[in-house]
Amino acid sequence: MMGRTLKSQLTLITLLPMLITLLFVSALVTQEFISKIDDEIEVRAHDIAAQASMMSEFYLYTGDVDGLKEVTRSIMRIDGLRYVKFIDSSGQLLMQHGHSQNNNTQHFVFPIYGSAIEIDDFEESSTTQQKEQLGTLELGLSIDETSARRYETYQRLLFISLTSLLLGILLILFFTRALNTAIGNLASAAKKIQQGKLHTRCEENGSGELLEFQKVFNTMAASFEESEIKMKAKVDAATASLLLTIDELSQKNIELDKSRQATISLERSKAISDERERIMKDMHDGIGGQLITSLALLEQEKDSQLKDNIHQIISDCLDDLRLIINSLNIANDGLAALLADFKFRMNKKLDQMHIKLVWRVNDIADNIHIQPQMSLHLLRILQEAFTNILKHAKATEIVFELTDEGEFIQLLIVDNGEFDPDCLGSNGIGLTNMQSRAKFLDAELSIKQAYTGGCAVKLKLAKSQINIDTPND
Amino acid sequence: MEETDHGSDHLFNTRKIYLNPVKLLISLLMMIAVTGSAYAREVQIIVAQKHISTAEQLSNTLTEQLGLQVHTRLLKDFDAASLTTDDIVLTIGNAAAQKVSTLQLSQPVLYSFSQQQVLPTTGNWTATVLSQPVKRLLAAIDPLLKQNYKNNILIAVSADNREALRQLNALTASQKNQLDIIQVPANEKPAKYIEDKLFNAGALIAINDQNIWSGENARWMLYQAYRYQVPVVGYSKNFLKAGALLSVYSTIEQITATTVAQLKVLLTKGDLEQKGIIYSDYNIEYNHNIARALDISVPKNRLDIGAEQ
Repeated sequence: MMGRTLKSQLTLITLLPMLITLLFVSALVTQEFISKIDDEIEVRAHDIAAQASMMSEFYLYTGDVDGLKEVTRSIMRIDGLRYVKFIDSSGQLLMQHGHSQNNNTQHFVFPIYGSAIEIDDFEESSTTQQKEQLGTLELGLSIDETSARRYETYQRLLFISLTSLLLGILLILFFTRALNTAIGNLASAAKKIQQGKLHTRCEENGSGELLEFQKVFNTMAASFEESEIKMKAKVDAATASLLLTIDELSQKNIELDKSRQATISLERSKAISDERERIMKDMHDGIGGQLITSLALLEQEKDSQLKDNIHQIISDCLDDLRLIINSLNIANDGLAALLADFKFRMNKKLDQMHIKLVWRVNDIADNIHIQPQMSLHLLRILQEAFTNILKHAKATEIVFELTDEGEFIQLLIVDNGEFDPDCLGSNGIGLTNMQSRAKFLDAELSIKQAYTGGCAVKLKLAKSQINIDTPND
Repeated sequence: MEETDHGSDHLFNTRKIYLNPVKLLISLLMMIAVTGSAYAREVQIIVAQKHISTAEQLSNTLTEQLGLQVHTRLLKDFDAASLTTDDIVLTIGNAAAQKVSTLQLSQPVLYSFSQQQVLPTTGNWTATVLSQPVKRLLAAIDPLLKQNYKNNILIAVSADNREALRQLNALTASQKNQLDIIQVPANEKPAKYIEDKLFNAGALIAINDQNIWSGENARWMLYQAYRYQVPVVGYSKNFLKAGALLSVYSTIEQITATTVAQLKVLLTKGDLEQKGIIYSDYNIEYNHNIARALDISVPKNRLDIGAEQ
């Protein structure tokens, strides 16, 4: 409403009442003085009239014009009196002195009454009850002096008012300066705190209650700042805790998911394993039993080439069945066990064909676990390699070697027999199957002539494709 | 004569009207003893409202002293037809006197506290007036004139003041020689009219004349007299306050006593003994301040002087 800043408002609040009061008082005093000046001329006129009445009453009563003349002459000596007129009760002009036609003259008319006395003790005379008008007195007083005095009064009052106003303003400014400064500091500090600068404090430059206020303000600001910091710390801590909890929850969620997946996988694996085991058992019990029974029956037949061939075929079927069963046996998921079983079955044939087997398997094979479907493919590759050696190589020694080549496991089968390079270019089913099985294992298969003159079959299996137990497992 | 101090003015004391049965009985018995029969006549006091206190005072006095039945009637309510032949009419004040005087009653009328101008010229009446006779006023100023070389006594009278003129005519030759009687015409201001005469006057006597001594005229008369250092003799106590040197006046009590006496005679003898104007006992009082101003030695105030025979 009055100024936007506190300073301007304070100044206005102190200045405006003073101004209004000054104006009001000036107006009143001016009016009073002017009224007094105006009254003075009235009073003066009344005084002159009273004196003139007293002097002229008898002459008016008796109609003595000469007496009135004397009275008029005496009265006209009064300063400022422009004219005097005596008029009797019938309206007739008895005496006039001076001119009534004047612009700077104020005219007065006074009736002159006679004053009776009561001389009867008992009866009240009727004449004393009524005041008889003896005549009228007309006066003209000059207002030049009045006008001059009025003007002088205006000037003086104006001067006094302006001086008072100026002095008042100076005093207000002087006395409110300290207050303004102190309040201004408070306002400024409050503003800064509002803007977020909680470290702001008000300069304690007031006095009395204002100083107390400033101190309280600062205390409040400090308290507010402290509360803000604590609150912020709490919020941060809470946020961090919350984030941590979220992370943990997320982690747990992931783990849960993994666990769930693992469980699912485990269950699936178990289901597959169970099924495999069932199939294996069925095969073992069913087909295996039939084959063994067939062999047993065949043993009872006479020896013949046919018997031998059939016996060989059945034996091969049994071996193959054993290979399959062995590969499906989840208990033999360890590579060492698999190879050991393969070696056991191969040894018989090798012994029959007088082939020496050099078996060099790294210890890492004990820690390698292969999935059943992978182990079958691996065993088939080994079987095909050994079968080819037995059928075509005419070797006397086979070296089987499993080594740890860092990022992969290498299986090497080297014989000392004959090597036919043409077999590499041909699309034989055995070799093709070996390649496809190696591809399934995501392994690298290479067949080439060995240093011994025979064939070297090398299978590189990436460690990432197999499950290798760590030493602490 | 016993000099008593009439320092206070008892003109307008207010008293309650009451009948003391014992006093009434004693009075009645006395009346019977004196008259031989009980008095059956009633006094009808006719009075204007403004003088009711005086009427009450007079009524009480009549009742106490004479054992009369007194009825006070206000002037505005007065009906002459209600009077009986045995009634005695007593008026108080000029208004009542003026009213009754026009009625031409057959009953005897006592005018009291009235002035000469309102009285009738004929009829069965007696009046105890407020004013004083000229002789009395002359007698009062006479001792003081000897102190001054001016011994001319001025009296201003209006032409229609018959009683005053009669009294003046009735004076002795030596008294008349002393007097300078000025008849003021009706259209003249008395104060201006007598101015020329004041120069040589030793005293100015005021007589009861409304055209001369009333209101503003009275003021200017006194003013003029003072201007010319002429002592004024007044006929009322108020004259002293107004500036007269001395005043010859009758108090209410004195007028009341005179009225009662007249009534007593009327009752005793059945008719008014003295008809016409009766002057009461009077006092002579001096204004010592005026006396000092006029350089006149005055004696002590003479109070309650009996009327002349």
